[in-house]
Amino acid sequence: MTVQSPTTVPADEAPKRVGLWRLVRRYPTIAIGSTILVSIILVAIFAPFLGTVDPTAISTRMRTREPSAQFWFGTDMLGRDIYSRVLYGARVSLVVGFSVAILASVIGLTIGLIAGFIRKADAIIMRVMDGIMSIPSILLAIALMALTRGSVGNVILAITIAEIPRVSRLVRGVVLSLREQPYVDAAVAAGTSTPVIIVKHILPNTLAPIIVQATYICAAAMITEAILSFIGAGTPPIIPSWGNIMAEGRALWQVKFYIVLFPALFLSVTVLAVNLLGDGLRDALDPRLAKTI
Amino acid sequence: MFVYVVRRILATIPVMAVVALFVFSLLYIAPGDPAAVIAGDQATPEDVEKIRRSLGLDRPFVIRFGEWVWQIARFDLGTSIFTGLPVTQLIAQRLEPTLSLMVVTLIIAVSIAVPLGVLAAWKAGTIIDRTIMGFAVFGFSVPVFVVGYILAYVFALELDWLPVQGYTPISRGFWPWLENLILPSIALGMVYIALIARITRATMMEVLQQDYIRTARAKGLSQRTVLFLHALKNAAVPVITVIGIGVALLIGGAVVTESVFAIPGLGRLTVDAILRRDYPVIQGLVLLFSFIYVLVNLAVDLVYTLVDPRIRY
Amino acid sequence: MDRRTFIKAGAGAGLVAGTAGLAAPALSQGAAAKTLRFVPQANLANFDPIWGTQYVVRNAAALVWDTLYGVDETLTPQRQMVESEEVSSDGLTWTFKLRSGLKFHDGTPVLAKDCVASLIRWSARDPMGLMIKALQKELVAVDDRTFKWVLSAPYPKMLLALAKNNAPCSFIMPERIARTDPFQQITEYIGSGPMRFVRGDWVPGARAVFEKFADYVPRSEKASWLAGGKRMLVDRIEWVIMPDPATASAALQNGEVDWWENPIADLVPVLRRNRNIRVDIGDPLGNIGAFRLNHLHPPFNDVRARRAILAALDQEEFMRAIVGSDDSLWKPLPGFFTPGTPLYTEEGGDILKGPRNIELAKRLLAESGYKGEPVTMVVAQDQPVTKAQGDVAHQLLKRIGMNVDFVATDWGTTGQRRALKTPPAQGGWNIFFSWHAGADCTNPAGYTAIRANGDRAWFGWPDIPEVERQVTAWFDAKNLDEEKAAIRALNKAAVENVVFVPPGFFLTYTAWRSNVTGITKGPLPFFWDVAKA
Repeated sequence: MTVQSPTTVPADEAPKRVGLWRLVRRYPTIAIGSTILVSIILVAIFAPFLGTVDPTAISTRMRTREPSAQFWFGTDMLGRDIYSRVLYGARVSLVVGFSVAILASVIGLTIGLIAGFIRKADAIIMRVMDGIMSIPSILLAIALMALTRGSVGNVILAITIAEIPRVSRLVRGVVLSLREQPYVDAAVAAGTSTPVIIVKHILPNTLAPIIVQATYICAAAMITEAILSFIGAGTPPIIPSWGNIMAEGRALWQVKFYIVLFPALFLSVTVLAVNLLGDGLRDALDPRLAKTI
Repeated sequence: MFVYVVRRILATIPVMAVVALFVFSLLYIAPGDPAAVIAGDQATPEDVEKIRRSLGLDRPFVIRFGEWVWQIARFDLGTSIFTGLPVTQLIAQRLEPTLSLMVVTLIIAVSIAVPLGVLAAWKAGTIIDRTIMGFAVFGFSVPVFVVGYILAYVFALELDWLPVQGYTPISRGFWPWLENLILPSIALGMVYIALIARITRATMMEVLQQDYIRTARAKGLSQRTVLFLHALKNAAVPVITVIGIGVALLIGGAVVTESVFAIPGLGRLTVDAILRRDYPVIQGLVLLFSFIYVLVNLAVDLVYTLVDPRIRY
Repeated sequence: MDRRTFIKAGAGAGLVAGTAGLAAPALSQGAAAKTLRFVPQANLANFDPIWGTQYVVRNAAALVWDTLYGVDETLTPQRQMVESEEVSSDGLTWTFKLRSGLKFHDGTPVLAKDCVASLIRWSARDPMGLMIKALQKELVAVDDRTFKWVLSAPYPKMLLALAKNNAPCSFIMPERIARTDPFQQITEYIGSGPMRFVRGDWVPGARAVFEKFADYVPRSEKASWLAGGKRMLVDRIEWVIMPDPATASAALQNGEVDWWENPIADLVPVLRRNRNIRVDIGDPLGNIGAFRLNHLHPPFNDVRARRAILAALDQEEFMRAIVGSDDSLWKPLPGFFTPGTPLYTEEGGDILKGPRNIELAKRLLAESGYKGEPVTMVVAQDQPVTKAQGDVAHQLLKRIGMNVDFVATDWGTTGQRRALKTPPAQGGWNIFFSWHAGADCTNPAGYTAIRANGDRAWFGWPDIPEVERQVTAWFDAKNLDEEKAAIRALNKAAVENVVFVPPGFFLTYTAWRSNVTGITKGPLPFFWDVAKA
């Protein structure tokens, strides 16, 4: 697990260097969100040292045991320890969430920049983006998953493709509005090369909305992964993920609700944390955006 | 206005073309074989091969794609490989449950979310506001199937107030129809409620600070009248936008909701078709969904002009 | 008798039988005008029982189409549409005579030519049908009610072939429909069975509806599985498709459906607590798991690698993963044939008994020359039985030191991939999972998976001449003792050479509301004699 937490961003990006406490007071959602998220990340990294056993060890003689001192969260239909599976499962959700957020942002940014700067490409790119956007992302992901075998990489790929249009539209919008700005006009008139304009004028202005958007994408990706795994088109069953654990427990939700409950709780809390963080970042980084949503 | 509408409608054609090509290519290169599923477990490889040939699945990409496009041009979506029924008929059979689910979801979501958003804006900064907004973030974060199962457990199994599953056509009475839709609509509507409540609050707060509202207040209109007459009307535009954006979300969510609540709608048809590789059905459905999405967004744009006279085309 | 009087006589007989048929349900008029709502094991996605051979299609088809013969609960063929048959002393000419008064749902009488056309289509697809077709010299209608089948060599299992319950069954369709290419789907669903298919109400994936066929003439004997009088005591049967077992369970508890074909074992305790619900074993012949190995490619082209798996295989682990904690639902299976049936044997199955021997497995694997190459295991995730087997097998293979490449896919992809003979690295496979209905595994007739005739065998393509020799011996057997001897030798050879790995024998429950009566145990849900109060 070498996922870089975006929680380090607000400290660097905050408008003024302020004391930690004041930051927490001013943006409580960032504080709450990042605290929860960091805890989950730590849990995921240190899962092997937190009293877990092999999360894939099957023992059908000990199946569907209720939560107890031996099995904190109980066992599933194959007698696997749910506590261990939930802890290890955090890795999948986090990796998927962050990878999709980063990949979709980077690719979306690139496509958005191209569309914003190259008039000829714009129409075609945007039609393609519209096309992808008009297919519900879950259906698109299911179809893409049917294409390949189930693997975490393919889940990431499928969700990323569905999320790219959101970022590229956002970036293109910013680029188009910035190009109308006098100082950009001036830079163009002065013969500044496009890459320089991008680095000097465009990127600083797109970064804030992209970071905010990326957190929402991260949250959405975690839910989509769970839904894909839930309907059996996601992470392969040999890797524990929250969606998988829920999918396997769904048939028994009436009698063994805890199988669904624990992963659902962890998933909900994690997504909640990411969303809170996104809300806070939006308030902090982009007050204009904060007003509209 | 008319020219604008025509232009917008024409602009949907390339989008639909992109979708069509994209989906067809995807399915073409996808592994999995409807013939193998049809033939069953006891069939020999030769049987499977013969069935594949009889379905025309052994022909090259260009020919199959060309045929399909030619069919669509004649408003024919083809025939399902499995059931032998026309895709249009399969879709028509499933349309009512899904549309009902979406309409009820929208009505429930809007009628819960807008008052909540207004209330939050009115009481901005108070504990009421915080609670509502906290609930909104929560609504975003809980997967639809979790909400679905919890609702079904409490209201159907434990309290026995509402049916657990299924769908009753509206032709068999309004209440039987609605009864089956309440739980799935709330489950599906969670995200929507959260989204609309947030945007209502945000725009209301903005509108409330504008001059003419202050003037209206100064004129002595009661607070409630101010809120509902002036502010809400102006807040309508972003709310409508969210409804437009949310359609794709709704279709995706319907896939899951329909399988949790056993509603025979388009969502389940899609999942079944993908799992069985019933290509004509998948293609027809994706085209339909894209078309609905494009259409709803077109409608949303047009409604803007009605709601907000400042927007002109 | 000339043709015209023959038809008249037939019509008259039909009329008499028809009124008798009408009188019978009058006894239970309270139960009439009832709709039985049934949750089947799977979606009825297509409805051609010859073209598509999934169990669910066969189960629905048994309502709509009738058969010439049907097996009863002892798996003995009994006459159904046939009134009498005659076989020549050399065993080469079979003459069948139909009962009079049989009608299709469109009102036309069932004629010999319909049977001929239906048998031609069936025999192109069915394993036993293909055997008969290979011997066939002539299959013709003699008159409206008589047809004959002339063979070049005797086929003693003729009646079993026409009566058997494994798909495809030899359902009789009108000639115009039966003329459809056996590899094309029929588009009209007209049979002569006790129920009519209501095509307009068919919503694939959600609902299939059957209505009582008023002109059906049941036999006078008591119904027993596919044999005897198929008397319908309900007017309408609605199949409600529910892919989610939790939903189906809730619906049954609330009385929204009347009968759930296959409740999962973990939900059965809940159902049992409900006083309005009855639960029992559905099919006493159960199912046999299938852990298929590809005999064409390393490592499983070496019998030692295949035997390594038998040595380490823990059937209890597999079975409990499939059926849950209810130990009455599974049996260890040191062989390949259905427990509790006449030919069942454990001959040669010692390697599957006793404590599991991981060390022996590792040694065998090493002797086979396996050195940690990846083993491609294709597991369909949308079928609970294949998914459970895959999960347990993954752990088993890891334990004996195999490097597993776990390919999680759906049933459709598995179906395609398992047909590829290329090496695993080029799109092929080493392992996949399935299961077989116990009713198909009572003898080699419908048991394609036990065959070991190399290229022509079922997926995995085992080539074991001894197994094939014993299959032939069984077909040629003249009495039960000879059959038993052949099956004992077959089982021994099949275990020794590991045609496939049997993870065990398992049963499933069926559950219904207590106001429903007359449900019988059997390899498919039988709706005749089922009443609803």
